Amino acid sequence: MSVYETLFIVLPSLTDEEVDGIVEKITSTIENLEGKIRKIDKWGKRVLAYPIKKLNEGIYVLIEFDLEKTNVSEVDRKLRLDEKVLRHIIVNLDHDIKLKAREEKKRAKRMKKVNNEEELEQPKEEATVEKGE
Amino acid sequence: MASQNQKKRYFVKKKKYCKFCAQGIEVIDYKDVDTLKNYLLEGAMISPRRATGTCPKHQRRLTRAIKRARIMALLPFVTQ
Repeated sequence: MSVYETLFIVLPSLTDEEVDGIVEKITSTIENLEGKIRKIDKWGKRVLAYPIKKLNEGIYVLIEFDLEKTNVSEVDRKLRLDEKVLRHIIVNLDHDIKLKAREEKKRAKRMKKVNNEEELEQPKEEATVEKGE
Repeated sequence: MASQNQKKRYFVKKKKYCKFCAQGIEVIDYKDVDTLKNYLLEGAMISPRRATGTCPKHQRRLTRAIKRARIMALLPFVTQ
């Protein structure tokens, strides 16, 4: 099982219910393939950086899910066949998750260092004050 | 001597550094449009390393992120 993320743009003329219908269709295909939905994030309407099919706006939807590697092409096919989906991308997040764990470790180390330095500095300051008095 | 000093003053360079390394960022997300926009030149070209000082590792991840963002119409391919 790997973690994947898909971002897709649907037609701006669709109502909220129709968008929900597309999202449900895709989530159900993922669940039928023994996958798990992690997160659904609807960004809403956004202005496109360049026109696609002569449209200047699009509704963005982000879905994060767990799925077996061999089954991802099926989700890709479903997205490609849907005419209401203007464009889609599927990204494997396994490597990113590893890197993020490393990032947090580094940050924790840095925080520890900063804290230690502060602890070391504070008693010194107190000592000088006492001497001054 | 005075002229030499003046020359030196004119050529003081700001040292470039990799901003991702400085902040300890490992993952560059293609959905994070605001940070990616800082690395586009006019005409929406990806800025080279020699211009921004980004390290090789982060430049690779940055270009990948920008290209993904372009596919999803989050960033433009070209601007006039």
